[in-house]
Amino acid sequence: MRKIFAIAGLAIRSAIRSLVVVVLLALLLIAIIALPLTIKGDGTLTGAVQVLLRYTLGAVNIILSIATLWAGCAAIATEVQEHQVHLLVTKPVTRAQLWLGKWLGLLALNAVLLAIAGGMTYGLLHWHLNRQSLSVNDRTTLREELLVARRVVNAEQISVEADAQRIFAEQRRTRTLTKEARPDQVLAAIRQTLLQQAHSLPPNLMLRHVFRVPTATTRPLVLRYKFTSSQTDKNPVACVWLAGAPERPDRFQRPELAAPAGIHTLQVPALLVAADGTLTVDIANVNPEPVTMVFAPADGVQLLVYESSFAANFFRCLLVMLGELTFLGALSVTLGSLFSLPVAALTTAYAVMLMNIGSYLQILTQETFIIGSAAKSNTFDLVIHFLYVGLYWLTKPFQTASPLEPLAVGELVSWSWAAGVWGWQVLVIGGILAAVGTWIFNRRELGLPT
Amino acid sequence: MKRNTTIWLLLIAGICFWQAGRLQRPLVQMRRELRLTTGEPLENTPPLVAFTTVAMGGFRGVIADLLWLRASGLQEDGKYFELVQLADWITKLEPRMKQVWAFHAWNMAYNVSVLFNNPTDRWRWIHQGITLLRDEGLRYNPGEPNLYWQLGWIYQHKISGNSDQMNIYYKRWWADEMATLFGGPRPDYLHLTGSQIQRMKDVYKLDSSLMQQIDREYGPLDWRLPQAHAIYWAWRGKKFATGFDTLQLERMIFQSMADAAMEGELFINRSEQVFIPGPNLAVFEKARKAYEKAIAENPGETSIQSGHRNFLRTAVMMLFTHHRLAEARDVFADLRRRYPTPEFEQGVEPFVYSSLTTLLRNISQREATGLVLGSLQQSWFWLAMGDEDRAQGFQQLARTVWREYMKTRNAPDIKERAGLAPIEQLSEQARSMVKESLTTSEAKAKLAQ
Repeated sequence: MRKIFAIAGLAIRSAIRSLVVVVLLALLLIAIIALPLTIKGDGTLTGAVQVLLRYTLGAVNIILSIATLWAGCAAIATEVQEHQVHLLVTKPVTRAQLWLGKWLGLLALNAVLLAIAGGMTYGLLHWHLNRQSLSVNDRTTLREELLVARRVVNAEQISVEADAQRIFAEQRRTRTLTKEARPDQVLAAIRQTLLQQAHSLPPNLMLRHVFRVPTATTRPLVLRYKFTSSQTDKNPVACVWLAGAPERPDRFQRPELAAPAGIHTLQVPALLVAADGTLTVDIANVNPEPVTMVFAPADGVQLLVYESSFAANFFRCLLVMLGELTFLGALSVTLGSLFSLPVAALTTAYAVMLMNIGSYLQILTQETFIIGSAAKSNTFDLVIHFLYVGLYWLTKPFQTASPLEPLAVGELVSWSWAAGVWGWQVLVIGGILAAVGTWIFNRRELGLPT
Repeated sequence: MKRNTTIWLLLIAGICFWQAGRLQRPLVQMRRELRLTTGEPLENTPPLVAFTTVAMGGFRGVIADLLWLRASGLQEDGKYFELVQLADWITKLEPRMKQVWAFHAWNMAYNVSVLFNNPTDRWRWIHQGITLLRDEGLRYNPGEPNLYWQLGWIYQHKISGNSDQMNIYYKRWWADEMATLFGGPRPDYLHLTGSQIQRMKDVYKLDSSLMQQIDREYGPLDWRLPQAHAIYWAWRGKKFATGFDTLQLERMIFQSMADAAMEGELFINRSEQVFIPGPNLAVFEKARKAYEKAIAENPGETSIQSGHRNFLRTAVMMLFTHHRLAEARDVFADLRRRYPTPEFEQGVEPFVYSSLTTLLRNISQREATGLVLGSLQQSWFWLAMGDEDRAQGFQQLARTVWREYMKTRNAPDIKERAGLAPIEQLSEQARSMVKESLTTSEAKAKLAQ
């Protein structure tokens, strides 16, 4: 272990000597201090805070990712190219120790820089907020909606499986389905239709959602909802929200005039949660004009429950970012031990790009034709389709959401998220990469004449 | 040897720079003559714009697309806080592309604003749309008529129109902002202070001499109201417009003039918390002339003629209800002469009555009571506010509606079932309702007489 730390120390010293750290620190300082001054929010205090968090930490993440990518690729590739590695491999260190030392050096460097950047961002945010004379309303909004970590709870799903199977069986029995219809697609379509029907609220009717609140809290709960309306215009729809068990005399009731497609929130007292940890929420459509409200089955209505302080959430966010940077370090050191610096850097950049366009790749996997037609796809379409499917499944294990999005809107970045990134990306994938990197490095001929 | 090569290379580079500088002017001139760009070359641009438009070359399109995708995704998820910045970047990456400016301004003013329940939030987004076009889009594209139209459209349609349920708030806020700027309904052009002129120019991009010119041509306009600003921007865009753009901007001018005639005078009574945009009869003749000018310049455009016909029809009703009978007759004569149809063959009074009769034919008892009572309340209200002409017009309208409605319901059984209460009784009821809603003793005293 001592040898690994010694190599890590060498890597850090080399980075400091080559001014990499100084340049990075300068770039980070510029990003943290100058960026909030140039970024335009939406004109609200909450918008300004969200932009500051999202953009400052986003810029920090980009700078550190690029630096990690470059430094990781250069760590071994440059030493091989400039023959410095000859000095190291003649010493009593294995190539696995060399690989791990370089990786740990990167990890330590990233940890220090991220801690400085994170600390400064956090301090800057509070300095901005403290020097402004905020109204009571603004302070409440910040305290309860933004500078907080709230767990997003979805309503218990309504089961439509039995009905879907019954309708499907009926359609088969009556031979309504054509021969070309694929049974799995038909069943999925029936399920989708039934789910959408179950989450539609016609005029003068009521729709019920039940939430299972995971932790007891005294802080108000927040209901967040979004719907579309059957009207083509976007006139607000009158509805009444009721929360708590129907038999309770103190049941929460709030009339709302809500614009379709917008995201709306309302606070509900926490004491309305039943002893079994459930919260019943009813929505009544009372719009004078007949209009149907349609909620998305997955996330049309959500409950936000206070979980922890903003500082803890901020720390977990940094931890996730560091985990992702460490994974990137492992990838770039591995590719650096396989290729020369330019090839390794380009390959890593390509791999990172593929990991970040997972959602687009997923859409592309659903396309069965690119140049042919739906009725007749050709060989090219088939090849492209399988290429997209392959790329999607290859990059899927590495695709993770950005922790900055939830942090900026006051949603929880959980410990399990951070543990997942460190467990899966760093330990498992990083371990595999370490094994592969060491294996390649072991077989690489370093004494070739140039 | 090495030093000599460096000196030679530097010399060649210097000559190339000098030659490029010399070619710049003729190239700009050619670009202008060939109408390759409508605006002047970008000068004194912020570093970000200069960098993105020159250094990034063709890649800026790709970056703009990625930012656009992010903006759409965020909007879909209801995360609007980044939209202003993203719109700013996207437009800066394509500063000469008018569609990009138009889309983002429209998206903020129309699509995003309506997603909020609160009028303050909605207004903030409409304002973002206005400032994006006015302060940035027109700065980089000063010769692009469509952008003037887009900006004018936000004033004409979003703020002045009633398609948005919260339009009255927008009108009120804009009026407050303009009243603070001008110190009244319109600038006192002869006594504008230096700071006032500067603020008009720097913040609102309003040129006082141009406003004066517009007032001479179309006014006096109430500059607290959005129609005046729609006219201003359309007027400014017209000098760069050709073909369809000219027609579009002219249409904006005469339609806004019609709007100004119908509700282009602001009645504000702060003590009574009253904010009513009402007819501005002073600009009625100029609105008429604006239509006539547009018809003469675009003889083949039937849509302008049908707009003109509707304007005159509404004007007859409006003048009649405002007790401007002579002018109502004059406009009606013009309407009959230009658009000879059977409905205009009768006189002005029968025309007004028949229009009302058509309306009243299928009206229910409840609706008729509401209409009569509403007109009577308006009459008493305007009397309390000191506008006797308007009060008399509404009184006349109420009585006409009552009479016409009761004409077909005179039979005792129908009268009892579907008839209206006596007009005097309804009038008294309206008076007491208005009196109760007033807060100042001065206004109440006027109704006591």
